[in-house]
Amino acid sequence: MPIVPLSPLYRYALVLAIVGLCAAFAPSMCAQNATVRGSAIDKQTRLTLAGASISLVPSEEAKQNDLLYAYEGARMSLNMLSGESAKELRYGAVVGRDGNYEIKNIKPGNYVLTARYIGYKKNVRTLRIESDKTLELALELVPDVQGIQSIVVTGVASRTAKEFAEAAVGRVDMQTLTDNVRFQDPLQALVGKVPGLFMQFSNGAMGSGVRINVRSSASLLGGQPVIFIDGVRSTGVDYHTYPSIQFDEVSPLATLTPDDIETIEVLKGPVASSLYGTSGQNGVLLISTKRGKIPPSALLSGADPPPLRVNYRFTGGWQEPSRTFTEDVTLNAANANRILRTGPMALHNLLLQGALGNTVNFAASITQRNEQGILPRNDAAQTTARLNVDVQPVNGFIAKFSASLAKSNFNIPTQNENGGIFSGWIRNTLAGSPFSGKRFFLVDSASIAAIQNGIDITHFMGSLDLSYTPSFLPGLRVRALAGVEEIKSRAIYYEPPGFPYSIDPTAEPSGGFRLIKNFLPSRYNFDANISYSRELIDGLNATFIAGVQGYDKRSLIDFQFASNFTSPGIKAIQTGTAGRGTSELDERFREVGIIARVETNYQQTYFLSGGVRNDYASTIGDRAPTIFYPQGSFAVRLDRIGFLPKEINLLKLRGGYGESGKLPMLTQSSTFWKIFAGPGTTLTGSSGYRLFLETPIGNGTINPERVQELELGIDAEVSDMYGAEITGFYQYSRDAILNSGSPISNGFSTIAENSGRASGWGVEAQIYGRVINTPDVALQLNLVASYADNMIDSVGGQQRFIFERSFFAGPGFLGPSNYIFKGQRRGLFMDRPVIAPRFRTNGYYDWNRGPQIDSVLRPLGSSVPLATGSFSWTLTLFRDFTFYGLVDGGLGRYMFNSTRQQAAAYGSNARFNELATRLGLAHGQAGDIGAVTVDDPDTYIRPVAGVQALQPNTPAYQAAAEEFMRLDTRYGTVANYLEKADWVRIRELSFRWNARNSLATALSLPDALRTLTLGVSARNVFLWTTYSGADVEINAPADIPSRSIVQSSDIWSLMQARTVNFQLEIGF
Amino acid sequence: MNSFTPPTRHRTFLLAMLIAVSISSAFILASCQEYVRDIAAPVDLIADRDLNQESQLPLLYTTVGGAFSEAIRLAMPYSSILSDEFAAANGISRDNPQPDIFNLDDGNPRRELMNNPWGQLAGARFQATNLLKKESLIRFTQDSNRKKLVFVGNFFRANAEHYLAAFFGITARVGGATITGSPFIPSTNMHDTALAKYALALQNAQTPYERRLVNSFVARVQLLERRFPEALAAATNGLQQGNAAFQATFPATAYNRWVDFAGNETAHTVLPDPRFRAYVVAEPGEAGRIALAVGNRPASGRTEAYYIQAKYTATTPIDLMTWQENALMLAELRLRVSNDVSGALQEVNRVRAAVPAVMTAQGVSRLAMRTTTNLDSIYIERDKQLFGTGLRLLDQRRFNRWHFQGASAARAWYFLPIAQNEFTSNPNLQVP
Repeated sequence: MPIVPLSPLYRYALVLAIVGLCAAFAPSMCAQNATVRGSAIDKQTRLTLAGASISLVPSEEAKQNDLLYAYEGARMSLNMLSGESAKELRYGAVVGRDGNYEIKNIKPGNYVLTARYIGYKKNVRTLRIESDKTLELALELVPDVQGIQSIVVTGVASRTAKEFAEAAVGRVDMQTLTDNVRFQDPLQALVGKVPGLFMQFSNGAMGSGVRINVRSSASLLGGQPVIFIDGVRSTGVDYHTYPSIQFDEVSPLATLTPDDIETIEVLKGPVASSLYGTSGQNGVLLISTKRGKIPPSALLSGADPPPLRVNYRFTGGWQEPSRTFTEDVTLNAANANRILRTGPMALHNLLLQGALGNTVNFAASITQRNEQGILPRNDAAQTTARLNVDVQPVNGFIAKFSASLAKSNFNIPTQNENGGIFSGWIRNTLAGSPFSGKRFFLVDSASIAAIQNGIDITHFMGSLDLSYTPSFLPGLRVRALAGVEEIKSRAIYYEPPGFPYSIDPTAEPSGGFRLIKNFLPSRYNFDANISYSRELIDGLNATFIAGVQGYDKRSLIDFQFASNFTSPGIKAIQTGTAGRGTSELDERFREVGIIARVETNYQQTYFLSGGVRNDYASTIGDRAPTIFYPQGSFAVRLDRIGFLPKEINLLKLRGGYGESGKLPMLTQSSTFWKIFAGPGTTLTGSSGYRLFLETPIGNGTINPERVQELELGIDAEVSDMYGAEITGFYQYSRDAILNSGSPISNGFSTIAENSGRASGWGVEAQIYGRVINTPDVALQLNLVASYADNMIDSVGGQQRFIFERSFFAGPGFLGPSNYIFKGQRRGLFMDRPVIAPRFRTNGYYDWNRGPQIDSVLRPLGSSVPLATGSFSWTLTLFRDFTFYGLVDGGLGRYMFNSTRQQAAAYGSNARFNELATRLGLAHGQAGDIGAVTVDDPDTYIRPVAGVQALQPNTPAYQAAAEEFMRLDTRYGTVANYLEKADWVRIRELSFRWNARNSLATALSLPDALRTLTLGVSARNVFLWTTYSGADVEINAPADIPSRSIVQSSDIWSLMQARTVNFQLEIGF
Repeated sequence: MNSFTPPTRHRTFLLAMLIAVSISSAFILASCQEYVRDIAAPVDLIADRDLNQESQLPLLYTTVGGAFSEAIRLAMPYSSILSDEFAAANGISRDNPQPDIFNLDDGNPRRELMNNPWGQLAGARFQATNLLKKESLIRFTQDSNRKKLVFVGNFFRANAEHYLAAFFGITARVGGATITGSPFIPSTNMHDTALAKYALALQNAQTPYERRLVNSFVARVQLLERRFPEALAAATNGLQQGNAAFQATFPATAYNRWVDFAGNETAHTVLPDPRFRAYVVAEPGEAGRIALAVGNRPASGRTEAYYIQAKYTATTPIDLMTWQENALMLAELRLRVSNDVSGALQEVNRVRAAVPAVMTAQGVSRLAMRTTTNLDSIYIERDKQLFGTGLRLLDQRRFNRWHFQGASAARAWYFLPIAQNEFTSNPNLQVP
């Protein structure tokens, strides 16, 4: 019989029939009767790990999961735990209080079993499950001391476990940190946590600005990292977009509650941040807030996951000056210390986390915060609300919605003492003669107290992050994100009428002054990318990524002011009858980048990635090309190759190269005219305004500054307990945009040019170890250290330096000068130092001519520390008592102590007065020099009792004169008053008692009470420093603290606060 | 191992995805540039490239004229302090001592003090030049608009150069300036370039007033260069009685800077020279053009009465060219060119007759008419008539009559110094 070939249709029908038959009999044919059970314990302490999750996934699928991005996997874990859920072939269990688990009715086959527990490395086993058999499996887990298995961001569309990352990524576990310590600003929490990160707070007033220094501040003029909060690109409350308005800068994260944050990741340079494009040259901060993920331990109490977890945290305490002014600096110290105060602090944080069925997770929080700073009229009141919802309507599709609304009111008394503001508390209590009998030197205390200087901020942030991983095409992922940030802020500076605000003692009470500044920025950003991962050949996996990222920013500012308010009690600005003015300012900017990247790995051992980004921005010159940034990196996991002893569980070499850039400003690339009040002529007419040429004049060929970075690193971990991460980097910046001087006779003073070059290099290290790990005692130590140096290679053409004079610093001196000087470090203080004293013909010190000064500028020291580091410990006793502490410090930094210099100028520096007396220069002595400050009779130096005048023309007189000239407040001032500012600070201390377990039996606490902890914490506990001033980390330039060239000047600056807080946390 | 090779339908899907991604990438690439450029102009900024419309010409004229007035309001007070017109007021402004002003008054000006006025004058010249460039960028519907642009641009560019040439100097006695980063240009050469631009302005002037105004400036320039016949010819066609003054005008937001130094409400950093009070005492009718008031500020350590200028409030215009100045130039030139005393007298008396009458304790007071005149009396007539305009410095130089005293008199500056900024920024300019 001839064989009749089946038509394709029949063949298809036959296959269908067979498959259908199989399916119909499947339950009986494929009996799911195997069982896996056992225990899960800590390998060292042998303690049971109740709440650990065990999952069992078929081998093939597990492999696919490995290839997938970890973006969503870590978050949406609920359905995986239930064998009944969407994927029939997945199984799971949770380790019970007795330390045992059991998974039943498993279909035979090859599986990958994974045991996970928070703070532990996952334990992965490959299993062969046979029907009707029970497999006994004891699982031992080891702590993940440094979080090397935590997922970190490695690019715009890339995440991976830290142990596989090709670049150094700093990761701060904010959840744990805020459990221990109370922070007033999220940026405080970064101090000492990430090597290569150095924070400079403008001053100690709450809410004031922060300068974030990353590595060597790659860009020639420095710059701040880009900040993303749940995918929203935020530039924060950018108050000083337009300077010369009487408000100090506000911290960019002032409106974000630290307790809401889960992690902060820090990408430190172009190697990691290249694909974030232009503006990522000084790194990227990625902040993730707490979401609704319920840890498996919450499932312990019953079969069903509890729908809601409620956590309430109260933190209350006080803040006080961390140091006080001393008489070494000024004889007025007590006078100023008298106004400092202890301010109460209170914070209530309510966090709800839960799930709706298997498809929705949510987290909602509300925080109320009230604080009073250490300076009168410095206070903060803040309410923030946040809602994060994760929805998984169908398998593979996840929508993550995040929204927050913060309403804040900060009252920040003026600290920025430039621009003729005489109403600062500290200046008024320090800057005067101690012999004048006054307690307030320039403006009366009632006048200062009457000033209102506050900011109301309403800050909304929201993002929607969609990702789709279709089940029909494993390895494909599509993601789209849109973020929006809206800020409405209103700042008011108000001097009520009826108070004198003048330094003129005969001045009449003023008619008052009121300034209102409204700042309304809107920002949108979007991010869309597609990635596809697959195994190319056996063991060689590749991921292809393409994406687009955009940013749209608009800032509107309007301000108005008026003075002379005639009716008492009425302050509406329209009632001011004089000095009125209004202005409207505007800023718009767009940026978009296209990204392509390939990531490969061979057997998760050899990693190689490369990517490119092409950027477009509104502020590039008309005739400049678009911006292209390449990036590439590699890593090798030597520990996985096999020749190393097995005690070395991680040894990774990594390296990378990346480029980023810094954009010009709009006015640097095109010529603009600003509308300005101006005079006119009878011939051309005048309407009270005219166009005013903006300088620099635009340069159509301007390109972004180009920053290149090379990074090499090694990560190692031994016995899962001790480890180190060491990274070396080299950064090079070229084409830095400088406003080069043009001959003034051109009619415009500057033109933007790509002309500067700078380089930076450094080493960062983090060494950690869990030195004790017993059931009753665990001690973990952590050492963070970094060294970074830099060099200015060129500031354009023949120019030798860019110079910034900071502020009017009182009589006879225009404040310190920082330079960006070719061939020197950035942030350099320079001056012409004094060389030798000069004497009058009668032998007395010649005050009027002053000492002989050097003919050339000498580099004196930089405001940027060469080395910073920290040491921290976490000691846990009997599992429930945690002692945590962090000590940090820095070396190779200098600060200009203008407070001390001014004290001398006002006759309130003890050593100055003593030497003047010894030299016979004090008032009434033979060589009387009169008032130290011209025209101020209060500044006669009073002879110091008990000090003998020396005989002129003697060696002793000469020696005293040489010391005295180094206290001259007028010549060589910066050299004379620059001080080494090395420091060690006990930054954070905390003690926490997890009372839930201890009290459970004693007090018969209900099972539902999940958390009960009590704690106490303190910040800025103690400071050792070579610096004589009140605080060593102050950064009070005249200009915008986060941007100005001038740094680290201390002029009547407020020290940081020491905070002490008690904490109670209750969770259900 | 090939278990991950997608089945055919997945391959098709992949191919479709690849095509979709390619197409969308191409679209994205093309539109990125559009997207970033598509930002609305900020409300407070106007790009220069957006100022090429005929309808914006009035705004551009305001800008060019305003820039010039801005420079004038900064430079002219300094000029009058350096001259013997105003003097630093020692002892009156205790809480605001200004050593720079004292030094300027002593003929020892600091170059840094000139940074601002110098920069503004250069800026005014740049803006006039920039306006002239618009001639080729603007599509004109009316030729009269084009001519007006050329007139305004050249007139103000010439003005800027004239003021640079006439008021600034590289050393104490050598006048001149730089333009657009040039080496030093002596006053005469700079004035010649200014004259060429005045000539262009004349060619494009469309009203008799514009022509007369330009001629008056030409007369002033030629007079400064001592080319008397040319000056006379220009002055003859210059402003006439009845022609409005050409003035810098000041809204309250960009006030007349005289009040900073010598206003009624200020610290009285400078005071008019006592001779102005003497003029008024000698002939009360002089109050019609020399406005003085008794200083009302409690003076520290100063008991005698003192007089402050009362000519300017914050919004009073400054005369840049008047028919009176033209008439006095005519008077002087008639004497210098042809010794025409009666012609000169006629002009002097024309100016004096126009001075408004003032009420004094003795009744209405008018200036008496002169019966004769000479260069010396015209010098004094100009002193009175041009009070508070900053032009006195030019007359002192022309007549070589200086007030500096003491050891420093020999070194005293007869010009405002070229700004320090220019020395720092202009490689072609060396400190002499």
